Amino acid sequence: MSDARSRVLSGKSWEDFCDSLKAAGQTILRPETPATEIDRAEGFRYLTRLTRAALERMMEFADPDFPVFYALSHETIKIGSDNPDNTYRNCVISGDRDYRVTGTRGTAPLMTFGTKAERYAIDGTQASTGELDSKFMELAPDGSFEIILSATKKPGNWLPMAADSSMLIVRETHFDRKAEVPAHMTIECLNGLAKPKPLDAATFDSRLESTAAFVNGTAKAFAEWMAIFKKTPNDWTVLPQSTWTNIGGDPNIFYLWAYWTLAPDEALVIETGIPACDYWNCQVNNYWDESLDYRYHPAHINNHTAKYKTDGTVTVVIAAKDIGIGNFLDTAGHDNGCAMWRWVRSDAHPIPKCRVEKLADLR
Amino acid sequence: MTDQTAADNMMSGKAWDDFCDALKEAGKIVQRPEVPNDPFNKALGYRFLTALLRGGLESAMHYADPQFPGFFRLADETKKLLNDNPDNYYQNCVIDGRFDYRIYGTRGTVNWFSIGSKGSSTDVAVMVDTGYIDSRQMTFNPDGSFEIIASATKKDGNWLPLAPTSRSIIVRQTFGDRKAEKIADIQIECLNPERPNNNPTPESVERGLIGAASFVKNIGNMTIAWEELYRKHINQLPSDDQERCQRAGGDAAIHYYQSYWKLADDEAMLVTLDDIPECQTWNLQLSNYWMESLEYRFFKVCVNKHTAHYEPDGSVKIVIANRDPGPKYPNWLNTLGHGEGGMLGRYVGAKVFPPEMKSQILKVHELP
Repeated sequence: MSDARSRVLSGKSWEDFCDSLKAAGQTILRPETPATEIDRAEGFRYLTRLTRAALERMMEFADPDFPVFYALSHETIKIGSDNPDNTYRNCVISGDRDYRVTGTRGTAPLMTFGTKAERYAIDGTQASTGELDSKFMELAPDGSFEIILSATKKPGNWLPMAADSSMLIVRETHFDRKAEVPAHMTIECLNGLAKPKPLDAATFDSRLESTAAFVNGTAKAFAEWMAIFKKTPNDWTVLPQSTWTNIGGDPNIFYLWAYWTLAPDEALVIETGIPACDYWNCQVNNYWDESLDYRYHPAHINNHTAKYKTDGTVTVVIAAKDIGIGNFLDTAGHDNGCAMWRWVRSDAHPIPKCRVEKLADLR
Repeated sequence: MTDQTAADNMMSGKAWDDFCDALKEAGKIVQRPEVPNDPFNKALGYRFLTALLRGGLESAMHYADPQFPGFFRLADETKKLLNDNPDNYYQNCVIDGRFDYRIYGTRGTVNWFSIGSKGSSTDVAVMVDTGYIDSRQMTFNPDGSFEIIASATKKDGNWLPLAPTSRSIIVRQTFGDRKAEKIADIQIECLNPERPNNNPTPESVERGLIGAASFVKNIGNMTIAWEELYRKHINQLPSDDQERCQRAGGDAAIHYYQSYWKLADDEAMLVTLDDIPECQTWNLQLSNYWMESLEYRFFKVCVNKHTAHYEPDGSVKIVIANRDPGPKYPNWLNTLGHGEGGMLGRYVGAKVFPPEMKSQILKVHELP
């Protein structure tokens, strides 16, 4: 019997999985992380959310012959400054097969498709291997569409892959989610197995190991970014955009990240002019880079929902309470965390100006 | 657990370490002597624990705030337990009967759906019914939209009764043909929350961690205990202990025939239904040893009133086998390489119940 099969049979692979999850707890306790009750509680909750995400990605939706869309971020799983305006769809693929995505476009203003190759072992990147923007897609008169994913060029809507492509990410971006019709889509492999194989113990063993590795790796990666952003609190950390596209960011998006820390009577005031662009937004996250609970709090604004000044500029006020000035984003019981600004398909990428003010002085 | 202990456990990381240790301990369930001792069933067992872990985290932590509720799915295409019904779309919600709720949405096209309130959130051994409403009793707007008030005091219009002890809501949407029908889109909100936000506290997160690990352990052990009961009548389908099924969150409208199948590769189980009562629907499904419904997205592992092929006399012949029994038996349920597991028959909304679903074991080539 193979090692992997005997590890499953004896229970060793399960024990290793539990030990590896336990080790991820050390990331929440790193010396630079905030030692407050809410940040710790949310930190360990974040690990449980990552565990769910990792199990979906590595265990349940891991078969490139039978791909099914799942969401790596949504209302109760949040990773790496997930955009509250987005419906995310993730899917495992394999560059040596072909796929067809069929669906209806809906009315969300933006939708992009990207294939990625995980080249961590080669150059530490999650490389973009193909991009398709719905703006340039052919739609049938009824709004339905079809996209072929393949490594060789295809007529019609074609989303390129490389031989080592392993992931598809779809970002559907809403301006006003409740007023827009969501897209629907499914994916199928065109030249894979006819039927899925029964679970094999060796496959299970490796998927379980990958699950714990995903939890550890993801938690650690964003904790390390926060340690960097923390060096310039309450201001954007401006880095080359290749930094983000190399780890799975959308090449259409110009990303800005900031660490914020505020006393209860303080506000982070952000002011900027708005260049010509398809979309922009600003959101407030907790220390673990999870968007705050946008179901119940004002946690983000975008080009559609923002109040503009008469000169066309925008002021965002991140604070514990709304004093009626600018566009209020609620820190919702947190005294530190992360913020993000996105310029999407924008003519220019101004860096919004940040300053901390006493709420009393703002009135 | 006092608030101070919970705070200390969160700050030191002890709560997380304890959770991981409890999960490790739960892994011993798969090593119990009753479990088939082969790498396939053990791998399925540990995967089952991961699915229970996801469901446990959702019910005990990520959707556990009754003042800020949301529907989640304790059983779905990749999370399966206790012979989950492939013909159902399940939704669960943690509530507290001392609050009032508005449930709203659109009707969709499924034959029917039911909404029940229960006296427990995750302890499936004691899920007491506290209220019930289904789509046949409800009033819908002309555009198919609807609203239900869930509360302990009676309300006009669509009303789901709660008791002060109610702790969860279960929605069951039952398909005739899963692929052709559109589910009802259902949302919920609490009408009178007391807290200003749903921020977690050390106490709530520790409670969630303990609850999730207990869910894994309790359902895991309960599954083995139930399979031991069903192994007493292997390859037969007698009427189950209906009260026990209801206590575990069963639907009051369903009569259950729950059992265990075990077949050699060349064997078939022929189930003959020649006394189907007047009912809304019926079905028969296959599960694995862990009572997870087999993979219904890609294979036929379940047959129901709508999808069955009927004999000229109105009876139904179902063949359970690992091999295709051929065109004479269109109601073939594929065991997908499993050698044994759970199975469940249901009569839904019937008034009379046959004592069993009749079965016999044959070699596949000996089928009549």
